[in-house]
Amino acid sequence: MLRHGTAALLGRVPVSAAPSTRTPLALIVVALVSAAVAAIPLAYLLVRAGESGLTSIIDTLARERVVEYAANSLGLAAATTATALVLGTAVAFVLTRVQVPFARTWLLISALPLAVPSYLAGYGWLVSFPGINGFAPSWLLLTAVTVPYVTLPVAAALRGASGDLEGVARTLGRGPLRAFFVATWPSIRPAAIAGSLLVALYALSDFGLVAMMRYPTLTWGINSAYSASFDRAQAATLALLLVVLAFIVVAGERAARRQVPRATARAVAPRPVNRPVLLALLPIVAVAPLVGVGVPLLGLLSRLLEAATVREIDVPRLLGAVSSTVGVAVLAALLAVSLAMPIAALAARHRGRLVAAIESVGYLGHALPGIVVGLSLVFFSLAVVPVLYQSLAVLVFAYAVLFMPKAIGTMRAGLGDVPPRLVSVARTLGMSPLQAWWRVTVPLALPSVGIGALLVAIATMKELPATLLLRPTGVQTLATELWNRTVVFEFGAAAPYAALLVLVAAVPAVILSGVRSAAKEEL
Amino acid sequence: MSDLVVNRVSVTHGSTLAIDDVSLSIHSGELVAVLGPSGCGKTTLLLAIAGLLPVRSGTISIGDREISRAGRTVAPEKRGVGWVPQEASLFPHLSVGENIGFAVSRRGDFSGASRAERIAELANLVGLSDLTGRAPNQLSGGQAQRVALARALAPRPDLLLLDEPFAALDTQLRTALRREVAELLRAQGTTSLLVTHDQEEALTLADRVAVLHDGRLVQFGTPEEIYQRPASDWVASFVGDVVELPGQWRAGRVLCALGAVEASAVGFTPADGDAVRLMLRPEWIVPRPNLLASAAAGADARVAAISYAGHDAMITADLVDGPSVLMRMTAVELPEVGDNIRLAVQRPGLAFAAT
Repeated sequence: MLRHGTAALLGRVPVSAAPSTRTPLALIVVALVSAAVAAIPLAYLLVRAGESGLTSIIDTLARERVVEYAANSLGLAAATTATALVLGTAVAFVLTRVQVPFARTWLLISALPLAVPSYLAGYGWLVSFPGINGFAPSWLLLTAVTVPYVTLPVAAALRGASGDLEGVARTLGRGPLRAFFVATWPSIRPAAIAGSLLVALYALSDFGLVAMMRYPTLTWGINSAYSASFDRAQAATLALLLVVLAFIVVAGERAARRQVPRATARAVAPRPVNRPVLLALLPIVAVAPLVGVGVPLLGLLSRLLEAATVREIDVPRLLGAVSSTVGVAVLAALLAVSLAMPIAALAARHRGRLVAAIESVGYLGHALPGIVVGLSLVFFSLAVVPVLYQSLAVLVFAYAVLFMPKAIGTMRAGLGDVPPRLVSVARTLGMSPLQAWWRVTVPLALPSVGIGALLVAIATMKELPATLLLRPTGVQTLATELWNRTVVFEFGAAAPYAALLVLVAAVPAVILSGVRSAAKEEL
Repeated sequence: MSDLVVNRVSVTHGSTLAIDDVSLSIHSGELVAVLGPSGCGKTTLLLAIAGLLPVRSGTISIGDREISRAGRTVAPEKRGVGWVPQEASLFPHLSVGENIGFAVSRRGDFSGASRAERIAELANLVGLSDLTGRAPNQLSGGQAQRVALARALAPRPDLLLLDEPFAALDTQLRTALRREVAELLRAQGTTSLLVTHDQEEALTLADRVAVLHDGRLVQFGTPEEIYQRPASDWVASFVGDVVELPGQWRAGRVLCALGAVEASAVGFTPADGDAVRLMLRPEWIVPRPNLLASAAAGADARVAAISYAGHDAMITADLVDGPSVLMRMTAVELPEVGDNIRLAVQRPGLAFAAT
């Protein structure tokens, strides 16, 4: 056991293209436990679907409605991913390569849509434009709220990418755009793909926005099967179909990702541009925040400031919702980071089928719609641990399973970025593997752990369907309060909750951008 | 202090045999350079000694303590082997002082003030007393290497490994820093193994030089032995410039275009009349035969080109009846291009078997 992982620690040794590393057994065991825990909702789903039998599953899948749901889900996911990838990369490029006045503020603004749940953006638009529905608004609003998932990692990768390489490409006769694609794109591609994957999974599993826009996707279909017809076997079948689609997305990401050697040369300094160019570039940065945050916020504010709304605010109830929202978010972030850590540590340094399988299972949570995780866990808790039925523990567990992928993604990248050589140096200075991990890997990866925890907290505060199903009696979060009022068309009564949701969820988003800017300044 | 003994060690990298049956023994306090072209396996050897790679066969020991054998590698942290990697590799989240003090435990011997003293002492040793508060990214390349050296020396290792520590520095800094580091290591009595691909670095700094080629140890000796008495024609041309002439062996001399040059055969026993290759260093060929009456060899030549390098010059001389040869002369009294000179060989050459 003393010699474990030594080959993997030496990424830069010549001729070590294939790290023939021995993966530590303890880490595999812990990661397997994490993955097994994350797989509970899916396992229950399989049990439920299994109960209904194969013929019934095939019957369900062949229905015209189901084919339409699937096509709508796929179309929406593809369109959203494509636009978010292009727009997010463009925004990241502008923010890192162009001297933008108030660059820090713009970075913050570009991250703001992270704070806005899709259904809240939908609510904000519906307040002002009650008639909108269908594919186009779902697509545009989903793009607007998911763009930061591409922008932030790509901007970080662009700051780390070697500018010298691009310069070399220029001197070899490539134009600026081709030089970017030849020299820089390969080193930011993993970040762009990982971000796009998050977008695709988000679009596939979104429920709140498509429900508000009355666009029938798979999540919508699952919801109507569960709540309208109480046909749980059919809903389980639809959910399985969605899981299969998510698997395909993850597999595609795996195939596309390549290990790109990290360049150590200097990044390109932001370049000054003249006013007309700047005025042409800033709308690219501004469009997503405007659509995802600006317009909904205006609608929300207009409704909030109406006299009738202000008169009816129930302050204690509002504060209760805030404290439960923040409370569950903190607990969920802690649990998700703890569960994600072993999987991220394993995936960052080791390869192999088992590792890939464990990582895929860890990513699974995000692909499961919240409503499916919610119902799975309702029945799981009833069947296996009745004591915990409708307890805070199950709710927090649902969040952790749902949002672990965010923590795994950032932490895996952060842990993978710690130069193996530094760990080796620490070993020669008398540190055991565990001490070296604690004194070198952890401090260097800490920002990514913090960012992972924040992403989980943000997502938890925005989560709706699982919360609706799993919240203990008497516990209301801002999201459930907003939803309960919106579904009965009380846009005014929903407004204070919507406003507080923006505020509470915006705080971690702001911290997130702050941390990233600080990290940039240190470099 | 104790000796490092590398005994018949082989190391594989994936499916490649990166180190093939290498044996070395280094005395306590000695500075040994491992010299070889890139890809010869020298870094692999270093990593195996550091315990960062397992050996496939053979053993590595320090004193009477065996630290590596097939299937058993003492962990890097328990070997007492320090490592100064290429590119310094300072911990970016720690200050210079904390980098130096990384291995100086807060508990035990160095609690509180004495830990700070030890850090200050080491910083002073490498001449960076004023910089302990800085962040690593505020250092120049040379300063970073000094910090890496102080950090590795802090736990008083039995053996210090230096992996091309000067390769990334500019020429002037490199020359100054490597001399300084060699003096420091000797003053500390630290047993050191320096990996380099730079012949001059190996020859000027090391007490002994181990030459690696394709994972094999091809020669291990003092710098003078390596240069004057290379074990093979590959070593000869790797560690310096050579003049090579075809000839015929006759009673301890080689008959060639330079006359009958006294020579010793390397790696084989030639019989009279055998075809051999004579190898000389350019500075062994001199233009003043009358001062060297004992040298039986001599030949007329015309100066074809002069490559001036300040302290000395490399002269290309066309032999009147034969090929051209290179000769290195101190740049005090240089001939001019076109001058006719008479050449002699001032010390015995080396004869290798004709291929």
